[in-house]
Amino acid sequence: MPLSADQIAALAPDAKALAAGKQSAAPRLWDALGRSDVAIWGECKGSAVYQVRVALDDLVAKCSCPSRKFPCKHSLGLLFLAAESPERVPPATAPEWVTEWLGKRSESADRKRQRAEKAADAAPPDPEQQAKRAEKRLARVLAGIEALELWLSDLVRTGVASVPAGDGVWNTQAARLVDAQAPGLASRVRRLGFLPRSGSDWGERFADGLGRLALLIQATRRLEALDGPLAADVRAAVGWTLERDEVVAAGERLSDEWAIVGQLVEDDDRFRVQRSWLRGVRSGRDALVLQFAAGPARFPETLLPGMVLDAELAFWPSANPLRALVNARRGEMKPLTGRPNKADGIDGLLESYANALGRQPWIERFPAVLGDVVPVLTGDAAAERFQVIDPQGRAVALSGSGHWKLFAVSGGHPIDLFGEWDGRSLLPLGTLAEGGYHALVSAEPTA
Amino acid sequence: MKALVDAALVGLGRAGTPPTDSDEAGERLLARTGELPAERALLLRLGVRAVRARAGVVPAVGTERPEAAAAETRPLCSPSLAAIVAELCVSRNKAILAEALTRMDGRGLRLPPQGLPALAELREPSLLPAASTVSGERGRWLARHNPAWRWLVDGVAPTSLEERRRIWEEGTPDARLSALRATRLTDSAEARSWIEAAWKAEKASLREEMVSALIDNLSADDEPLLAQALADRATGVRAAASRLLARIETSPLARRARERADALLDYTAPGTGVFGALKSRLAGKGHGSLSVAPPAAFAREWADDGLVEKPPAGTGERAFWLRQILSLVPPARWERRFGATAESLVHAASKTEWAEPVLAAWTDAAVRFEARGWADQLWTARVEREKPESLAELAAIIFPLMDATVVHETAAAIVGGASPQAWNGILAAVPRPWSRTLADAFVKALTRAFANTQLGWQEVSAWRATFEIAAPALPIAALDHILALDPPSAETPAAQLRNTFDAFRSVLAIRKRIDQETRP
Repeated sequence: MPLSADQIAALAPDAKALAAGKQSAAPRLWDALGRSDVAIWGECKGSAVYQVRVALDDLVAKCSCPSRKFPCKHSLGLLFLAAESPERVPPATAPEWVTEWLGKRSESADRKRQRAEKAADAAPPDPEQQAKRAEKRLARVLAGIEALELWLSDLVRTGVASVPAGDGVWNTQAARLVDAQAPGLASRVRRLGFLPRSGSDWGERFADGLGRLALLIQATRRLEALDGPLAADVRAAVGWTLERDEVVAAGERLSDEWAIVGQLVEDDDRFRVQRSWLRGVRSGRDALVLQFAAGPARFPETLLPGMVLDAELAFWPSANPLRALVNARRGEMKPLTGRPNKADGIDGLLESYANALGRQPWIERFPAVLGDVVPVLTGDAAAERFQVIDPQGRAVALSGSGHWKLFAVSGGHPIDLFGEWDGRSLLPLGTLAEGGYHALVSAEPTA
Repeated sequence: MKALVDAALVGLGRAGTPPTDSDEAGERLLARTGELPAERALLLRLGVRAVRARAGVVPAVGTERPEAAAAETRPLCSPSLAAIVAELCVSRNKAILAEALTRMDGRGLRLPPQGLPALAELREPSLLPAASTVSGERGRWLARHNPAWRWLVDGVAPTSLEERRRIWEEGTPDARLSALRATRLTDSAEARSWIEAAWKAEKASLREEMVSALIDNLSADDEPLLAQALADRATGVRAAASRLLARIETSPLARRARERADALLDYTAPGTGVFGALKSRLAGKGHGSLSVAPPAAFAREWADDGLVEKPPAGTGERAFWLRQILSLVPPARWERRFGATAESLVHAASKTEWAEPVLAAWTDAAVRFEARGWADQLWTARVEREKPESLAELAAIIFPLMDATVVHETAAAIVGGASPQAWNGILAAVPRPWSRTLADAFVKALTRAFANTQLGWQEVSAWRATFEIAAPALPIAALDHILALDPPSAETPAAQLRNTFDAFRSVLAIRKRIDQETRP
């Protein structure tokens, strides 16, 4: 199991668990270590002796300790130990407490599959009542957007500049939209509220957000007239959600070797949001897997940047399908060693992006896989502005900061770069250089 | 185009005529919505404009690409060693990091490029030269692009004299000084001529560093330059020049220092023959006797040679002057003048009523003039006179002059007999790695402390510091033994040390892995 320290670190729920995990990797703490084709295990002497086991396919761990963090420090310790000194975790016959757990895991996976099949087969509980509920919600949303449009009209009549940033009116409007069951619109309004006077070009950015919101309002009003996939995009942007089963049933499904080319975790007060960008090695298709976890809980699906996952993805219905979930995974993840399928030049990226916007104008972030670009420091080192230049001499600016690692890895030589394009600049998430993948956004979670 | 944004910002009410967009396709699209109020039309125009602007982004034309880094000559270190170094850069454990880099350098390996920013960001010249060599060509390339990382190359002078001369003429101040110091070791006259040529043009801080660089291969040839520096406007430069002149025997300054000191000391050898020796021994003068006559008054002209008249509070004037005067004379002078060994002189000095200032002055002088033969004697004399607690400062300056085996033995004796409060200061000054003898003494003391049911809280807290000192210092050969030790049992006072002991052992485990990863 060729995991790097960075990749194990990416599994840690927080910095404290990570540090404790590294401490727990000391060989003297371990006994009865072993591995099979599907799992590694060992007994760790902590305040008591704990039985620790990790499944190799999805890296889900189980430990007999009472910690509420997943994975706990003992599980992380076992992974670190196996990575640092693989000879200490020799092939062995799995003890009963490991086989039993593996058995339970496959049973529950079977049950889940059966449930899903049943749910897919079963007719909706009461189509009439469901239709009624849907109609009621649509009516509320439509009423909500009427009110929103009225307010926005007032806003442009009196002038946006007259409304202070962070003012309560934005939150009030957002709260009304939540009541109107349009949470997607609510968060757009809230984000708009942060913009006034937030930097020299705020007017441009504000007009951009305002205009796109207006288009969304117009599209919602004409929801019934839209093509199915685009209507699904509008519904998702407004705030209609789909259950996992619905995505699997309604969306496109695609099996491939999925290279996890970039990952980013954003911390909210209450929960963490993880964005993983995947590219199909055979199909060249891109996918975005969004996952949410409350506090120290683990993300349901283990996705490690720089690895390749053999899996079937199910895409949310969309005019430009990107968001997906992992429907079924097969075997262990393997390290990514070469360019996944193909890479673009900068012109190619911008063209794909323009085409995607033509199909789905509300795309927020777009996957970029740039081939043979050279990172360049522009301006002086104090300002630390970077861009990448492709072989045709086209350049785009990098957003965010701390690009020295990328700069160091390239050393002025062309590299492949994975990132998120937001329409203005590129946020680098990973790079392939000399055959090895490097995560670019620090893999260590913040405390 | 801009008119749309401006209208939204100042408000349609004030902007007057509602603007339309110059984009025909957009206007056609808008026309399909039928007649709209001006506000809604503006909002939708903004939307069309926003999507169109995103879709139509024109890439910048690339500026010049940097010259690519040169091909590496060293092989990469193992991924686990790179991971250890990355970890140490984060935890900023400089002692262990230095060990890892030195070992890596010794094996001719280099760090992978992704590990370089964290190392370079430490800006820790004490990690040189290993930090520079293990960074390879990529490290040199990065240092060219980030001024904050210059230390990686500036702190290490190139081997060719030509290259050093170029750096002396064009480099940053740090790089120039490393080039100067390196040249002073191989071509001392060349280095002196660089300083003479540059003297007038340089700032005082650099002049001081340049003068101090003369310390290696110092000779009478440097006197004219130092004499010039002794008349400099900056005090720092004058002090540096005076320190060096005192070390050149033929200099007038050294001559004056000798004359001042000679007047203060006299020595009588022990009696000769069976009877004479016995008589001396009985009088406690088996090593002869030293008579000390501290100056009665401070002569004006002493100040010109850098002596200070007013003592700090708590020190007597005469003892203060005595110490200063004696400290400016090489201790070897007394061996020659009195025809006695360092051992005899130190013994004799301990018996006088001025023992303290004389021994302190000789210690200063031994350090200043690197009198290795005297260091052992002075240390032994002070250990006999004083408690270990008060010897930390002395240990820090005098251990570097002593033979490491002697230091390890004396430290082992102190660890065997004193308490951690007493030995920490001394252990901190002991050269690394410790000898097996000292490591064994440490383990014995540790086992004793863990078993001690009367261990006081001062000792517990002093042990925490001991662990920190021992972790980077214990010899590799002793690590397995210590890693196998049991932690203190929960019923003893030492149980409070469990976490510290765990952390200590993880550092040892890292060191062991560094060793494994860098074995030939």
